Amino acid sequence: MPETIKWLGSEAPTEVRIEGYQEIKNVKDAPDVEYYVPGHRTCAGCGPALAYRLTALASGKNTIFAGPTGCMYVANTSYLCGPWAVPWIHTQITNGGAVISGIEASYKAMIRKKKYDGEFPNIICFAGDGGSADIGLQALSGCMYRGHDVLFICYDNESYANTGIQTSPMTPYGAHTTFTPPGPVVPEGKKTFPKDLLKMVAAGHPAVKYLATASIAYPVDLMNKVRKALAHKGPTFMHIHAPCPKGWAFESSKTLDIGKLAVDTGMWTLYEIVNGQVKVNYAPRRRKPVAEYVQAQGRFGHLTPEMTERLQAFVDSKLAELGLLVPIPAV
Amino acid sequence: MALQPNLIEVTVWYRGVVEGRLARQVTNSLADAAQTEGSYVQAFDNYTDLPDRVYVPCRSYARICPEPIAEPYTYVNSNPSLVVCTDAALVKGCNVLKGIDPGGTLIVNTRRDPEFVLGLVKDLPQKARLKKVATLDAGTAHQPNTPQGGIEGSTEKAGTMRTAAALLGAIAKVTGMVSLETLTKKAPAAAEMMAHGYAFVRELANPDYDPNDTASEAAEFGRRGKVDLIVPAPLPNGSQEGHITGNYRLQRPVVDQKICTACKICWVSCPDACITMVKDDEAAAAAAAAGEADGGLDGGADGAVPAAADGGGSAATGEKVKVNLKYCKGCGICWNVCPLKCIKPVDELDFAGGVVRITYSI
Repeated sequence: MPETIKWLGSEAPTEVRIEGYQEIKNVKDAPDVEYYVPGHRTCAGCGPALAYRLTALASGKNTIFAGPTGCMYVANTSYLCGPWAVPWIHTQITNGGAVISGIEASYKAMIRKKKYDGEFPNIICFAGDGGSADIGLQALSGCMYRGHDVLFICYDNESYANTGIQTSPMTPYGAHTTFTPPGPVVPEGKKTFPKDLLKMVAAGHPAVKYLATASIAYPVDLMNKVRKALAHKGPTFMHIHAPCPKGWAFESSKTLDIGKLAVDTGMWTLYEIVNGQVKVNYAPRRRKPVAEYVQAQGRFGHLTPEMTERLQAFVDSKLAELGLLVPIPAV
Repeated sequence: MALQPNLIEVTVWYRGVVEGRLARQVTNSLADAAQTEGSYVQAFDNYTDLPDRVYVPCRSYARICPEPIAEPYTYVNSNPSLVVCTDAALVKGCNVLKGIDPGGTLIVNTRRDPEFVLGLVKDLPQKARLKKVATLDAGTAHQPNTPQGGIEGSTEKAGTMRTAAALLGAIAKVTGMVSLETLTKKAPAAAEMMAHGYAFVRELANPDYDPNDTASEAAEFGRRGKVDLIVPAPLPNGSQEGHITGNYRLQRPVVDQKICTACKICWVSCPDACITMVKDDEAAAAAAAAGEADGGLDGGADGAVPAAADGGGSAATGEKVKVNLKYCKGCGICWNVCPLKCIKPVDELDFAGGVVRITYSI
């Protein structure tokens, strides 16, 4: 069991309060009523669409979604229709967090004034990495800080994919986007390393007691985390890794393979932070080198071995923080 | 009627992202060559098609006119005299002949015969206006592209054409709207592929061609038909009727129901919720009834494969998994994740049924 990370403060854990959620034991046990139905213009093999579907499966009927601008707004709602069988509202890319705060506050007010006696809804903001880590960061931070009973999900396809793959703060080092094309001056494409959004939310928002990362390649884990987050009273945050065939330049059938590879190489880690205590959910038995992940995607096609080494060093430092730094077995 | 008597409109149908560069190469090079030959030209993309999504059927346009173009700011080609399709599944999924000028030509990039393509357009009201069908195996562009490839705001390098060059050669041969010499002069590196397209394109005159056909015109030229602005919100386990996505599909998942153990891994992995597990006999019967109510979309009477493998109908055969072919985009995740490999991709064109003509209302 990895020890609590330093930046969270070591005396934090008192009790794990996530209870009363209905656990999904395996795929066969998963709910089968779709609230994110077929009929949306996302790409063939869209990772974020699968993340949305799994979230909607887990959250169920009594849910309100807010969708900041991004792929999961534009592709889903073209021509005045949307694929949600639950209420959904479009928000600007800047203010997803503010809108769900408002929805939550109004439900609380209606309950206080005895104008609503139904069950309190699951209020979920399903924002892209731009709508949560970049343009939408202030609304996310405000929402988490004020302590609303909401779930903010960042589906991370590591770019502004809706507008044609521009770089975002979540784009990994070395990725080719239309804003970071590799050339003679900047041969690696993107020069900077991405933000760590989960850490940022966890470290700066004491009201948030449940945070988790998830990946669409681990659907049961993802659905359980959504349920845990919704069962928790108070602001919760999830960061879902959602590979994008268009932006990352791989075949549409490989979406889940790339998701798995990300976890196996350490480019993505599955863990949750409950009351300040870190729990790693899955540690790959045989860690793969980052080079394998890099070779599988067109966006890294220009990387030299030295650049891949830099990426590997970055991944190693991230894994060391979580206590997952095991040597890569020789092939 | 075209906007202008001498105006030639060219529409290229392609798959979003994966063939975006290819389509633009065709329209841009065609316009470029025609300009060199002294015509007034335009080349542009349709924006409302959402070209930014993988496999979405989209259009790219070119206009060629000997005199100045009268309406340069009309943003769609309403009456193309040449329609080019970068794959034959587009002919199955979209009404590519919509608005075609009498005497128009259809060129399709496919390995199959022109007769086959003609069979695919048989049900279209505009088929009598189509004079010629041509096919050419120009190779495929269905490969993952690099981010600078088919995406907006990007630039393309000239002289790297392959499939586009072959299609351009075919266009020069079949329509003669530009000469092969001009095309070759513009892109010398692609000369070989252009000559290949010019030499190997197969043409067929449409036996149903009727130069005096006006039957379909009345429906065509009301600029916009009935527009349903409000699509009802979907119900749980329903679908969104405003976005029927079956025409994205190039390959269809066919489930071997005998091997399938109903492990639900394909079900949980489908981004489009197109896979349904058949629970028991009662549920299967209900599902089969629902499948038939879909309007013959996945046609149980499909000659090519047994009805059960076709994904629709027949609960009696012990099927465990049903594929919703009205919405399946053919992304391939299901046949990739299946642990028993009992889902196989089959070329969409191998099925006689499953024709989904999608015309967007706006």
